[in-house]
Amino acid sequence: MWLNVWLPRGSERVVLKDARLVHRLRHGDVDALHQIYHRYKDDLLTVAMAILNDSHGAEDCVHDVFVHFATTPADLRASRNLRGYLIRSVANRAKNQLKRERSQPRQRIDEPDGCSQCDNPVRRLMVTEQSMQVFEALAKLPDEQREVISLHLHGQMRFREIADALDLSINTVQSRYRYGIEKLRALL
Amino acid sequence: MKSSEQVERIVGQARLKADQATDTRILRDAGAAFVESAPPARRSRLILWRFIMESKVTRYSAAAVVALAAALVLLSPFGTSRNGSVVLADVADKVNEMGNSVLTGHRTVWCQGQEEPCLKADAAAYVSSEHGYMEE
Repeated sequence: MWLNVWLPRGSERVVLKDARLVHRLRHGDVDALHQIYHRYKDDLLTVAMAILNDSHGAEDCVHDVFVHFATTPADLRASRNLRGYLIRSVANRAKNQLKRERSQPRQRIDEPDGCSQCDNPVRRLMVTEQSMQVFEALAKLPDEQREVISLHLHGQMRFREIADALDLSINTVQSRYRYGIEKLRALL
Repeated sequence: MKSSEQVERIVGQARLKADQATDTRILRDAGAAFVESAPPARRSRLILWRFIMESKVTRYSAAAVVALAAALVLLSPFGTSRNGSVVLADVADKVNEMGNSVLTGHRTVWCQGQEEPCLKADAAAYVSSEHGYMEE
């Protein structure tokens, strides 16, 4: 029934494997939790980074989402579409984090050089120079456009799925995406 | 200026990757939260509750079942069987105490040599342990 709800770049096999992992998790298998994390960690971190443009914030965001997910494996939404559920959770938390930071700005700890994320053993997250440029360019977009672009390109969500998740019309989502890409063309 | 397709490809390829320390931190905290989370019995109840509440169909079906059960218990439209055996025993006792009964029926009497019955009548017979048998 739920197989045709949303299949990200993939097949029923992916969804079935996710469903099996969630099933194992519900029955107390910690190894399933590890497998889910390793399966989606980079996608989740990338979506969080695209929205926040802050590697520490992105890590905290994914951390919080995953800890919450570990305490509520019975959530039925997770078994229907695990990937979409985690991506949406990260995007929502990142947006909330962004709002919180704007209302209560905090001091960011950045390295003096331009490429603060690169080749620094202190940093725990790895990002290439080109990826950093992309994240910097995404940060210059309005929040709504950045979110839609990240969910579509990094989260591999369809426009219909994004529209449902954000409670918007599909035309609005596509417009935001198109305007965002146009701006990125000038920036990249 | 790059084309939209090129930009989409470049943006799609941008990645932030976690290293071992990040993995360790997140998995450690998530694992601890998982162990401390709800016990299996509570979790299975939670699963059932979420299953019911997740869909409108199951939600309204569950509500209808509860309402029907409440109506059956409160209104007892088919009568109550709660004191059925007691009521039957009471009736049997009263009949035994009474010691008599009435038998009713239709009597047809043919006289010998006649084709038509000479008497057609309703009859009642009274049988009593005290007064014997009487028919009228």
